Amino acid sequence: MTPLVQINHINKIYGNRKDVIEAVKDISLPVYEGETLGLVGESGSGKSTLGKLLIGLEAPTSGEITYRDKVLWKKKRFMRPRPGEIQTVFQDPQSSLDPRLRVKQIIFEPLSALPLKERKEKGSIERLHALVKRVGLKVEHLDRYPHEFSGGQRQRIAIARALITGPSFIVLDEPTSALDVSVQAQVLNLLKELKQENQLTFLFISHNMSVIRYMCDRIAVMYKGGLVEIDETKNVLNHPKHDYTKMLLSSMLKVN
Amino acid sequence: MINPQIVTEAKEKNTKTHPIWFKLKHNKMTTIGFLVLFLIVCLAILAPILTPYDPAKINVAEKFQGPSLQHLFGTDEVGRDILTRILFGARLSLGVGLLVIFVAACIGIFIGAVSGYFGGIIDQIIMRVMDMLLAFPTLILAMALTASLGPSLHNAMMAIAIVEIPIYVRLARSETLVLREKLFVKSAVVFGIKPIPIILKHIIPNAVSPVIIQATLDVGNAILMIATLGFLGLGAQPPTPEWGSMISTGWKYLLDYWWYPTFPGIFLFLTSGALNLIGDGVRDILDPKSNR
Amino acid sequence: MLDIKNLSIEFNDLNGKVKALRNINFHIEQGEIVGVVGESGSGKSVTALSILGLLDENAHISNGSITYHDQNLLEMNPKDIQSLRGKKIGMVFQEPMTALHPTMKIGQQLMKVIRQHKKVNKKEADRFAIEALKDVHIHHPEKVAKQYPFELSGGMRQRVVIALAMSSPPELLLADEPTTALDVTVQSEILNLMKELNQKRNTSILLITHDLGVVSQLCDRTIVMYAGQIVETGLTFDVLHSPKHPYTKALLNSLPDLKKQDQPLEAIEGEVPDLRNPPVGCPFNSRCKHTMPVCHEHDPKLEICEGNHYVACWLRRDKV
Repeated sequence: MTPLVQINHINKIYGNRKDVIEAVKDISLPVYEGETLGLVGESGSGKSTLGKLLIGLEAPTSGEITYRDKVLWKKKRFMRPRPGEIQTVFQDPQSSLDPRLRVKQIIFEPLSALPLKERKEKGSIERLHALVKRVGLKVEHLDRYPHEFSGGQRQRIAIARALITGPSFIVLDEPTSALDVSVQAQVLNLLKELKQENQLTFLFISHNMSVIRYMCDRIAVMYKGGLVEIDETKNVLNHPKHDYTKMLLSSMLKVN
Repeated sequence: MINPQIVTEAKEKNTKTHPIWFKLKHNKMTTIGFLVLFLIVCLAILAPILTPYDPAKINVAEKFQGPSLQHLFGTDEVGRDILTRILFGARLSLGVGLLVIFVAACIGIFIGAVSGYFGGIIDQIIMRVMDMLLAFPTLILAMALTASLGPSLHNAMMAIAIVEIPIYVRLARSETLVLREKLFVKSAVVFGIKPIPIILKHIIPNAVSPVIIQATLDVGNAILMIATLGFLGLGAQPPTPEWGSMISTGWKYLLDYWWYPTFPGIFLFLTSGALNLIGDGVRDILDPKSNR
Repeated sequence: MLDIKNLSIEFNDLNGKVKALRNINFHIEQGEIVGVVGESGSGKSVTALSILGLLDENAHISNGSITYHDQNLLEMNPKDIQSLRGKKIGMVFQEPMTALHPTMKIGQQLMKVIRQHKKVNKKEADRFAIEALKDVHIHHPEKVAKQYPFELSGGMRQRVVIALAMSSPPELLLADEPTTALDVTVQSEILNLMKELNQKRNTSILLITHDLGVVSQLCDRTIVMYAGQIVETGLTFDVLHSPKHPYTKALLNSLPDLKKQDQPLEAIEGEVPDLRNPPVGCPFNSRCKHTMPVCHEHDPKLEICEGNHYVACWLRRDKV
């Protein structure tokens, strides 16, 4: 399999000489086309920072990230592949939707970075309506404002917004952590179906091992900025190699 | 998947009683402010219909007449009806006050948003310039600016707008620093949208409510400042009916013809007072921080 | 020990009355750990706040009583409630920072609380404070006592909050989502600590959470709430292993914990009803897979189905 994203010896250091926080320490890993890679770790493990490096919100201090063999960061400049090729869904649907815009404007927003021809093609009303219905919303919702929706519905809006550009790779940063379990299940099901239908590649960042276990083909475990283990899901779960992974698995609370 | 009943219900609830009006109705002082301002605005708009006189026409034969049925507020040193001049002056004061603050707020919010969004050296330069402007007392700076530009209503307006801008820059900048970290702004960055469109589309619309509060508070100030500059002879030039210059000329005659400076003074007081009451009310409602 | 009867609470907001709690009945016995589970808007936190007398001003208790050792808390004056709150009922909230004084050293905070409850001199209070920190398994209590809250990690802070809450010592500990803000590895440590304190000191615990895993780890009895009502209650094992209410069943089935990857999760379709005008009949009727005509007409009462297991559902009733 060819890697869609290849991360090579990435470091991210915050702060100046005296006060240094190494958020990401020498991480190398591939993300293969069509897979869901789970990135699991606790707060401060650097998993969200790694996600930000991939979507262009933070520049790495050293190391190289390639996307389809093209370098993503040249010094401090993010070399955006094709606008809308890499998309993201954030954790908090309260803050990820602009309260002053209508749902229709929100979903269409990513298109404004696209070339005119593509914008017209992808911004057709039929496509919008189909997409909105696909994520479980209704056409009449398009004229409303985000505050009129529940958390789960807002996350559906965020997902529709990520899909409007027809991306190949989506970074999902704790997409269901702010939701109730029954709504979380709706969103996880939806994400799985959409991935199948659109041949997407997911980087799924979460602290919740049972969500990661359910969603991901491979799991990467991060601890204090470093990558401690990466393998197929069943191997990580059944034969964890690193002590930290073992501890993480043993502190999972099982309902039964 | 989604229960449509809930959503429609939620929507109905939201439109039924808008919380801002609900709260405004319960604030007595603000209501009084609104009533007074409404009255003054009506008088200003209807000025040509309400009085038979021309605000600028000299009629020396009728100079310094006391309040009577013919001239409710009396006449001035060249026989012009003072009520007429006050009403036309209200048009000017309100119009100029609103315009000046509107311009200052628009420029200020944009500069502030740019400064806060980009940060770094741009921010440093902009904020140091603003600090310089803020270091002077506003009125003194406005006087100095008008004096150097030449006394006229135009220049006075420009000067007041300039001295008001830093307040809005600071306000918009601090809002922007918060908004910049919001996920919907980060999302827009990820989508590949350029900084200026992000500022126009996301930052400014979301930073606007504290600016509106500040602006309602400042309109009263601006009217007072225009009047002050007029009083000092730096603002509107005769024969323009302007409250400040009317008080300025009138107060020389205060002992003999009390009505001349008194009535414009009362109107100036009522207008800026009403605007301050409204501003306070609006702030209490829109800004929960100053509430308790 | 604590007995809540027919408790109903409404909130006034700009757009009408929110019926946050409707006819809640439950009790806690000495030494028991009771879990209240529910999703957001189920009324679980309101329940906790009403016991502590900490409801917002716009809340209105329309019916019911909260009895603590034969005293009705709802009729007590605020001063007595406050002393009860510090002394007999301890509390732990989700965000430990809100319970700590930000500019006071940990040791001082503990000493202050200890001296409110015990007549001891400074030296003894200091000793008690170190003791209290040891009890919550803080490894260097002398060092931590000299630190400020911001110097500690989230897990350590929550331990300190528990030490503070336990120092009086209380008969009942109210814990509202005590581990939600913490990492999983820390979460299990805190839960173990709470269990240990319960066993050592016979303190009753009322645990409010959205996490069924937390309940199953810690609680003797479980109360499942939905839309301001109790829909099911019983021994934790019974509730989680043989749930009777369709909501509890669906909630368990929506967890990704046990599903294989190729099985879709059984999500509960729809949303929680609007509590400004709650639906007629069973609150779960719009999302339930087994609705019958009666569900839309009458609200089922909580009735016994076996042993200590109670459920509010018309399906059960027909079978009985």
